[in-house]
Amino acid sequence: MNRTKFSMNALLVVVIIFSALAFVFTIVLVDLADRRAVNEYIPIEGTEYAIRYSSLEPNGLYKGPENTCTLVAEGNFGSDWGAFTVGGKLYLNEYTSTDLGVLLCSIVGVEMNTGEKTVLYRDTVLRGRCASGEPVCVRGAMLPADFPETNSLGRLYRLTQKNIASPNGGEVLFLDPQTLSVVYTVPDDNVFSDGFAERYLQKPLAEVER
Amino acid sequence: MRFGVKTGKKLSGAGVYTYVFQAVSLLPLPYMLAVSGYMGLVAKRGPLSFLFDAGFAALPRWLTLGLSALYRLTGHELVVYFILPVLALAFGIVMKKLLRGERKTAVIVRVILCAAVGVDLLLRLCLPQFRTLFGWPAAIVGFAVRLVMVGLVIADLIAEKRKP
Repeated sequence: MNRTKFSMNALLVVVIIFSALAFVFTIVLVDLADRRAVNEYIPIEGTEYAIRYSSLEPNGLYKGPENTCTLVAEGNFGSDWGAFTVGGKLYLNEYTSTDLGVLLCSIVGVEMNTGEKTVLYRDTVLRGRCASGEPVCVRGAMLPADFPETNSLGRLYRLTQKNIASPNGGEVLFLDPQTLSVVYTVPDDNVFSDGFAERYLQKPLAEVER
Repeated sequence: MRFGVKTGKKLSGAGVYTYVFQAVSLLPLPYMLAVSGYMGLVAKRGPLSFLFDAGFAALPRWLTLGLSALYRLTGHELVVYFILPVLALAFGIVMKKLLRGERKTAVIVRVILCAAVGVDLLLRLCLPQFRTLFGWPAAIVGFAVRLVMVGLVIADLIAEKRKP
């Protein structure tokens, strides 16, 4: 094989420089130009708190009625799959986005007096409570919005997690309602399928364990 | 800067491995760059996603696992994106220095390289989930690249041993 003076190192330097420039256009400038008007106020059932998405004010958890509410904690929260309070903390889903837009979810606890936010479980989605009251979560699965079956970034993301056999696979966790430690785990190959409520939420834990 | 100018000198197996490692490091980049411009690309498989998969399947397993862990920890694809060419550049510069340096050092580097690729090849056979996660076509590409590289580096070592 003949050696050629093809300078791969020089090519790599060119790639690094041009990529940095390209990302300025595709991520930074596009993000700056994204000025959609949003103003949503979603009360969390059974509490005096609400989740707010707004173009004018920071997204986050707010306390009080819509017109006079005050910001408690900043973040993109979601209570559509449930929220619960334990020991002065409100637990709910927080959604974060990666640089390229892959949506990630963690369960966070927000101290209701101080607004201090702590992550309870990373890469975990709160899905509600089962019939016996234990909070039910899904860990290690990519959200359906990320197209886990076709998303190559998702494959890289899932490579270092336990259950990688199925693109929609993950673990269903049942938490102790007081200590919030995991009391039961069920591996599931399709955690975001339609039958989730029938399989886990409409049954007491004892029946799921059987 | 000149590209593709033949100098007529023989390229060693380790030298080829260096180029292949650098080339493979570039494969995942177009997909990530394209997705940064149009997120809808993740909803379907295409040539760029195949390149991405083939790139990660052909890269050394420890590196792919490390990058995956880093991606999970940071949640930033750009970290992964820039680590790949920077690492390939560093690898190229270091290998160039080592392989053109003392003969003894060059032999040691080849032995280490051969062992590393060999272990990586065995890991692919032993851990089926890593073999298939990026899909069978990408897995075949990854396996073939490793097999050829082990062969080249072994041939390199044999040639080195026969030298007076």
